[in-house]
Amino acid sequence: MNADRMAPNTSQRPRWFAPVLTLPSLVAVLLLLAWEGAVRYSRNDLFPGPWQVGLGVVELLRKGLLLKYTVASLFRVTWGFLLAVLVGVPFGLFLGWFRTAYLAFNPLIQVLRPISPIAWIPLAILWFGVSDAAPVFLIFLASVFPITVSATAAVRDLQPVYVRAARNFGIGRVQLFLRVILPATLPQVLTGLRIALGVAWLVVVAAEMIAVNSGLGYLIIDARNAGKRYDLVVAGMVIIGLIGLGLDLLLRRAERLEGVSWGYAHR
Amino acid sequence: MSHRRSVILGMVTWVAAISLLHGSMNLRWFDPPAKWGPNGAPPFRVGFLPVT
Amino acid sequence: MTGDGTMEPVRFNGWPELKETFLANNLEATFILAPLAISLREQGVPIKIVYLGHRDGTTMMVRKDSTVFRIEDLRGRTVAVPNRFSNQRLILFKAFKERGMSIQDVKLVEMPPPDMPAALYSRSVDAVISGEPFMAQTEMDGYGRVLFMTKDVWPEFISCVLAVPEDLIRTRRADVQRLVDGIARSGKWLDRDMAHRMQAADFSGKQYYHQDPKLLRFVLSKPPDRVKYTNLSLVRKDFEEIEALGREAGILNGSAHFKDYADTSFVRDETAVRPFDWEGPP
Repeated sequence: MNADRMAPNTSQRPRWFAPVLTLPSLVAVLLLLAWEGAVRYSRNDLFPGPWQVGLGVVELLRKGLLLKYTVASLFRVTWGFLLAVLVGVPFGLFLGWFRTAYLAFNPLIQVLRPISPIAWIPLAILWFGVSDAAPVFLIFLASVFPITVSATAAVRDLQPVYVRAARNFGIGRVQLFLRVILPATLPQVLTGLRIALGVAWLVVVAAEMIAVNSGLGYLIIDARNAGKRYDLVVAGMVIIGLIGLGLDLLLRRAERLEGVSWGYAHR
Repeated sequence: MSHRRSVILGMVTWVAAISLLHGSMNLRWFDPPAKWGPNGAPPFRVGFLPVT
Repeated sequence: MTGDGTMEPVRFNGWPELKETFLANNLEATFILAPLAISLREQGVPIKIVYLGHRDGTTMMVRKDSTVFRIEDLRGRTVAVPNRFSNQRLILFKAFKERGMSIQDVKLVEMPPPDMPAALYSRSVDAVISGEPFMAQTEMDGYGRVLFMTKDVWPEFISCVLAVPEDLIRTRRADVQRLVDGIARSGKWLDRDMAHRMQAADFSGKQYYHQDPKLLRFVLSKPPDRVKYTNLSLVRKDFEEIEALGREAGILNGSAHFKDYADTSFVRDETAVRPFDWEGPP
């Protein structure tokens, strides 16, 4: 990629031929072959090979379940993550700016942060029952702490020279926040969001272990209940992984937008 | 900074679209509400595990 | 389960989640492990058992090539049970006691029943015991062998009971009665004719359980008394035996008794229950 950027004239190959696509594809093919080989070698008829998993995906597509469950999972992750952003970003910036608040709240955040969302499942059920609110709450919990922490760190890492320069221009508090702090912290906050979205998507399986009757996590648990349907278990895993990749790519694109791209240029 | 507008617009559209899709596909928001018996009787939910 | 418009079945994937949802008053009724219901009552939860869902329906499996042929052979082996509050664990206490063994003679592990077939297949455990269809699955797939069925050790075994919050018996008695009647009548319908069982396997496999109808047909027919759907009234001595074993197993403290946790008023005379007269699937 760097080579492309530095020497655009020499790159006459079509874009799809770029190593950014071919290398991962090569690894994927090798992995699938190794998988198939391992399944054949072990003669384990419980564990599915890639072909069976592919057929499982096709079956899910034909029954309309794949779309339905993907929508359900994306819905829960969207809302859990959105709430986490709405709470975490302002709160994190606030903690980063006001030292007293940071001293008061940071220990609490550090206590809550390492608790796995799985541990919250019983409380989520008691508070929210079997509705969508329970998984949304779990996803919120999983993502709100990384977001808060990264927003706090972004403000605390701020170059004091920006603030001092702005103050020399006699800028007001609101303007300082909107014109200096927010744009200056945005790149780091976005990185925090990207990590948090990964975590949010990661906990979707655990969050859907609760009595919801849709979702990719539910698909996996349901397939376990259905007897020898480990092809669907692995199909669910593969789909979750692919969508996770898509989400990550989306946020990486956001990082390239002009408002924030300066923050990554040197990395 | 026209990016900002399109990003915000995109996100709002996404949240609305995924919510509507989920509501129609999984929550039966748009089905006729005749599911719970006559006179809107309160639901009678019976929990079970798929095991004897 | 009866599909009667106003009844809404809610499927769970684990006992803890089901219990928590019940505790949070988000269920009007639930099927629940019998010893778990009694234990909740002991802990002050206003829960009442009103009926059974079925009898028997639990099997202990070993691998086909296992050297375990009798219960006594389990000495020193690893056995998976669904939950410490399951009656599947208590039946082991009973079976061992009757053979001069103790529970210390085996290594017990708790495991969700859906994971048991794979655990048995991969030899992670030597024996598994749970409700169907997970045990029949190991048999159908050719690597599991029945060590015993409940009818061999504890005839008329009770695994799960139908329980409701106590105040619901006052506030929505008619609904509870309708549910119990539905279970009682469809149970008699099931046990009247093997063809009915096969219809039910096809119907409920798709509709409720998301399980292979072929597997459910196997469970309901091989042998026919693998699981029974008649004689579902609450009988005091059955529960007193569970209480005693539960105390022995350390999951019950003996502070709740039959009159506290059971309400037998919904079906007073089991013989008066008339089967449904469905011909096709309900």
